[in-house]
Amino acid sequence: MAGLTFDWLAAVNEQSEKNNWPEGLLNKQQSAIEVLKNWQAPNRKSEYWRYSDAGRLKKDSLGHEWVAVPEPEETSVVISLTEQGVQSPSHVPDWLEIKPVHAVDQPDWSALKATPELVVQASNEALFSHGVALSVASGAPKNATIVLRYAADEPNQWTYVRNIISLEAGAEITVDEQVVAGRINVNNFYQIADGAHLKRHQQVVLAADQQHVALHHFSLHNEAQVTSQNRHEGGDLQHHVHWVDFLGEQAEYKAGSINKATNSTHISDIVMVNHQHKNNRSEVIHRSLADDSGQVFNNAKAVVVKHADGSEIDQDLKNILLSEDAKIASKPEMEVYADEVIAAHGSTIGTLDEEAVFYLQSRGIPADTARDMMMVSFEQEALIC
Amino acid sequence: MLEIKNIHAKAGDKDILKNLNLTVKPGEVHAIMGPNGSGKSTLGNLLAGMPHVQATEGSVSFKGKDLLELEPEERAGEGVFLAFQYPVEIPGVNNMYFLRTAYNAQRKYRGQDGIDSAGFMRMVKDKIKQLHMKDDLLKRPVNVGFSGGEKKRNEVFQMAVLEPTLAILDETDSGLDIDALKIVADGVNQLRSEDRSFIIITHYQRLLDYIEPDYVHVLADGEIVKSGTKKLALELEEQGYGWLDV
Repeated sequence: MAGLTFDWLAAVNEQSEKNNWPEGLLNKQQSAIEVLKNWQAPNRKSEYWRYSDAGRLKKDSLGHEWVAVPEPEETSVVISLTEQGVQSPSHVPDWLEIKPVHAVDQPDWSALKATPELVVQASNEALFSHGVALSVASGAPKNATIVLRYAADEPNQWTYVRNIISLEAGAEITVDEQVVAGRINVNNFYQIADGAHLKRHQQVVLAADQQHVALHHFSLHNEAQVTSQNRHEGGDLQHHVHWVDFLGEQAEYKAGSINKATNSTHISDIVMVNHQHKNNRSEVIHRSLADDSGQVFNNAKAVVVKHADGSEIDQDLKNILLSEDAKIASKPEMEVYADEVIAAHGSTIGTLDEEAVFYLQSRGIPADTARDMMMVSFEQEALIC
Repeated sequence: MLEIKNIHAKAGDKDILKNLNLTVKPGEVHAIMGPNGSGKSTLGNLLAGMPHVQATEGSVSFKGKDLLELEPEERAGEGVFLAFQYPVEIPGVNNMYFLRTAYNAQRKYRGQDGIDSAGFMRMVKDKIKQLHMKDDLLKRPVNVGFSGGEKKRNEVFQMAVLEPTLAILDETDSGLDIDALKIVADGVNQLRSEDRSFIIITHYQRLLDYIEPDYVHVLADGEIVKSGTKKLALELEEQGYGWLDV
């Protein structure tokens, strides 16, 4: 690989804690580095990076300003992930088990095996130094919330974090992911057992010169359910991939994303859903806005393998350009090899509805407020939980 | 209150209003009738400040101010209200929030203090009761999922809350069944006062059975070609516009 990973490798935080890691995991990391050597660095020829400037990943000075994130509610289980490691609560409820991520078997799934398009996310496998493995029991109260707060102090070096979140059969939990500070590259593996329900909120609201890279992999077993709400706003670069594998039947993945790029923000929001079994349902709703010279890339792809009949897919991508220099690329995509599938997809790119803005103005609402109200209105359809 | 002099206006690239003159005094109700494409809605949109309608000649004075120089929200602050022919749907913004934002924005424009949510709630509940409308209207997103009649009633409700001094109703009667028409007309009649004026744009005389106009004007090819009393509307109902040679 032409340089990029090794720029990161040179910049990565001290990883002395790896001295205690099992040899098998260290070998795995070394193997990952060997694979990455042969992969091309992200560039415009890559589908996932065609509409985003990968060169920004190498910026060496990002600044110290952060957007304030509200403190979590006291009833939540709060886990902070910093460049120093993991800070877990002193009291852990009996429905939750927390272990260091290196202390558990790594998931079979790997970004390295999936596609070279995931090179940036896959570098996490070679470079991660810490993270948590959470196991949620079926006895978790329905309103239970786990908050994962990414809060690294070092603004320039990348911090690689890897988490495994497992829901036992029938468990129901809310996981809030919040970026508080830091240049984070995170891989999260959500393993949702039979009949379990994950409600997930991801909030990545960044100050103008910050960056964030994420891969979220969801494995859904029979009748599992994921409801995922994402808000990606601002920053220099945001690159999100949501990868979904249906491993059983009668499961549902539903995601709503709000992407807002201002100034010169580049946001990529990529969803890949693999319908490998029958009778599963996926619904992806994106609402994206780009202002100034901001850029957004939306890609929702679903692959339905042969014999995965009864699959249902809905992709709904709507986008608004707020300035002449803003750019949005929006791509719903389906590969269907099964015979009986219900599928719908749509993508629109337009400007703010000026007639609606005038309607609000005609009632006395100033133009700026009217536009803000219209943007809130536009986002609503992607608010699913 | 309103003096339109020799106004010419374009909607987009098309010349629509040509030498239109109209004077409306406080408390008067003027009905504007006319064939399709004559410029009735363009007149309403011009007065409210719709961006794609531009005056090319003439003047519009409202309470002594040059109305055409004002932004749409400033016109609303001055007391101009347009009940839309096709009210716009705004998902995710409920009627109550929308109306309170509008109400307080207008008060701010006039140099008055805003009203808190509890006080506003009391006020709108009274209004909605007076208008014999259902208060679930307040919780619903603006015009989303509303029937055609509900949208028009919502326009009248907004008018009742915002208490304009000049209300322009652009074909508010179109698409209404007879019961809805009565509710809308009743709402307008409740709002009639000696310092509030109305311009009622309509195709049909039937609305004027319920809202008694002081003047009826026929607009044809961008100008007022005939004015009269309610009797003129009855003649138009019977004979159409052909006899006016428009």
